[in-house]
Amino acid sequence: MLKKLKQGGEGLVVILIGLFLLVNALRIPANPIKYEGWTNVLAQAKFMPTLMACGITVLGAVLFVRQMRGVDKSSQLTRAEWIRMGVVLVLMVLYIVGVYKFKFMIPTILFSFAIIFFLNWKRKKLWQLAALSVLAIVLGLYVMPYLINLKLPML
Amino acid sequence: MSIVAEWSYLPSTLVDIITDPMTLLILLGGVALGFIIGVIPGLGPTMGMALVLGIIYKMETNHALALLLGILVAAISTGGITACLANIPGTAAAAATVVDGYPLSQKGRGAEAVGYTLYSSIFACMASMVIVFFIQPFVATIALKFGNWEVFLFCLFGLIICGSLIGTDVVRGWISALLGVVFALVGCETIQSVQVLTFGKPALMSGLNSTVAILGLFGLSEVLYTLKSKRSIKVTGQSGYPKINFREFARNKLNIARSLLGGLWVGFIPGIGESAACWFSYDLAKKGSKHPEEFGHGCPEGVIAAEIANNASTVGAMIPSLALGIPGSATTSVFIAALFLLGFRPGPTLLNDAPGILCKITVLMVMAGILLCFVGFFLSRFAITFLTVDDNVLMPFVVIFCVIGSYASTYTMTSLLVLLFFGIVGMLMKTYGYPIPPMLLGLLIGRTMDEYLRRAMLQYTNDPIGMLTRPIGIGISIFLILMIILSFKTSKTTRKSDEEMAEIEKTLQEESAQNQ
Repeated sequence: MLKKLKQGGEGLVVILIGLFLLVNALRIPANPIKYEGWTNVLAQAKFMPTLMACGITVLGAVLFVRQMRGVDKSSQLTRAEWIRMGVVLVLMVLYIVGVYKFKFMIPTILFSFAIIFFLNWKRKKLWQLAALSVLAIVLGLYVMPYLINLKLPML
Repeated sequence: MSIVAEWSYLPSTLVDIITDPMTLLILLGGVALGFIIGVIPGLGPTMGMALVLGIIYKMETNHALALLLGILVAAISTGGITACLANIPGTAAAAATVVDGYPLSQKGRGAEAVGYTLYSSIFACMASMVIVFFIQPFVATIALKFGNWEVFLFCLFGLIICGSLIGTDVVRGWISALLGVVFALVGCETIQSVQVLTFGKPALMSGLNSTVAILGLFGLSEVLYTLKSKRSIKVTGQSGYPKINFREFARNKLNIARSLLGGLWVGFIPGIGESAACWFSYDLAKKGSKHPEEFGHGCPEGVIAAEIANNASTVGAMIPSLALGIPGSATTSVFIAALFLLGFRPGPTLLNDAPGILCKITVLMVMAGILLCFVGFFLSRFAITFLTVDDNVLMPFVVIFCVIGSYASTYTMTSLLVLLFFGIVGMLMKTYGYPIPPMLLGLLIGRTMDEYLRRAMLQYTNDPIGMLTRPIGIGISIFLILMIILSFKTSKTTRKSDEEMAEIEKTLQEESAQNQ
């Protein structure tokens, strides 16, 4: 039973997303100005979000049923691929949150070195990695903002 | 504005552009950049244009359009070069080019294959843009007759088609499209300023910025997905300067005309995109050929048909994009986002509000094609060098540019969090097989759809039958219902075509391994 449920996991997630959106769509406040008859329902701000959320929920259910029947299978990545993607994602998240909190300079420098080293340390020499990192920093922090006349908050 | 009035701007626009060295220089830069973007697998015109979105809003209109259109024309024309030389389509639109382009290259005719790819594409871009130039004012006139209800139906039509035909699974495509509409609705809605799905956060009251969303969906997610595996590209084709075989082009006059019109038609229907156009045209060319048995073994007819159609469809997608503001493909959706950034409002009133804009786009695209003839000729020799640029070196630069680009488009740090959100969403979508273009289409037209539906409801408060029986609305509704029914059948056929394509790719790879 658990194995079957795992098979339909993707569909379940989509259903949950649909339900989450549906609940929040129904909580959208009603229009301040009322209209006559059926128009008052269809012209509400919540109508389209509710409709879309219902659609997502229904399609999620269709997907779930198909997966439980074995007609549809979720794509699989290997463990190595998940780990590699996960590390890059973590670096990216740290970079973006770092920029959000501490502005551009320090997070960009740290990210540039970290990701280029992580991805290329087996293939390239140390000085090449350092040069690429410096190039990324210079292009990102100085050249690109200069070209578009953008003042980046550095520190 | 009369139809002829729009055409009358052509001479002055041509003089303006030709006599501005900066515009020509930026166009040349865009073409060169687009060439590199098109050749490197994993980038593509959509991502290339998305990356410069953060830059163009500060540029003068002509310069911004020159950069965008230079990248667009070059990137869609050069995806086939990688298909011919490395058996990998540089862009999704070049998928059908692999089937005959790579075997042709393996026969030692790599330079000729590149010539067919490049010059078919350039011709298709230029010819189809000239056709669009003459058709567009008529389409805009018809579009002015679209009422609120018709615009809503057309948006819905685009979403249904996009969700059905892009990707292999109709259900996932529609989920992607509906989610895009939900994201588009976040913020204060336009009719009565009700807050929709803002969760009480002031930062969400102005909605989710589409430029940032595009950078996340096509930039960051592509980086994450590309870097998940250590991929290396084996280039076995020979290149050099491309060869132009005029006799072969002359022999393929009917094929060229058919592919051009077929591509334009496929592009016109919103949501279908270039990848469907190339297969559609390839199939037609094979059926119409005197030697169909040669297809799949290095037949120039196949390469020409695929490349002409995919370029014509990109340009054809401009028709609904400019006339109705409804993007015909992922690439044109980024172009529409760019037009909004530059202060234009694509839709039925575009030609009235911005007279001469159609002439500018036409002249710039034709000139980009002319420049690509030369740039492509010289840079094709180095295509192999570009192909061997390591993703592990390139992608970190893409991340940094995405982050700076998203800050540049809104000047707020919140956009970085939105970028990250869409990057993760895009990554998960790619991992689990959800196509991204329907979500992008939903993001761009979701608000329009909601607005026009509610306006239609308010307009026909006491007369719903009057709304439903509008002639253009009935026509679109019938088409919509037919498309929904056909989409389930198409889903099965598409899955079969994908299996056949995978089989062809496997056979080609086995043959290539044996030859080595």
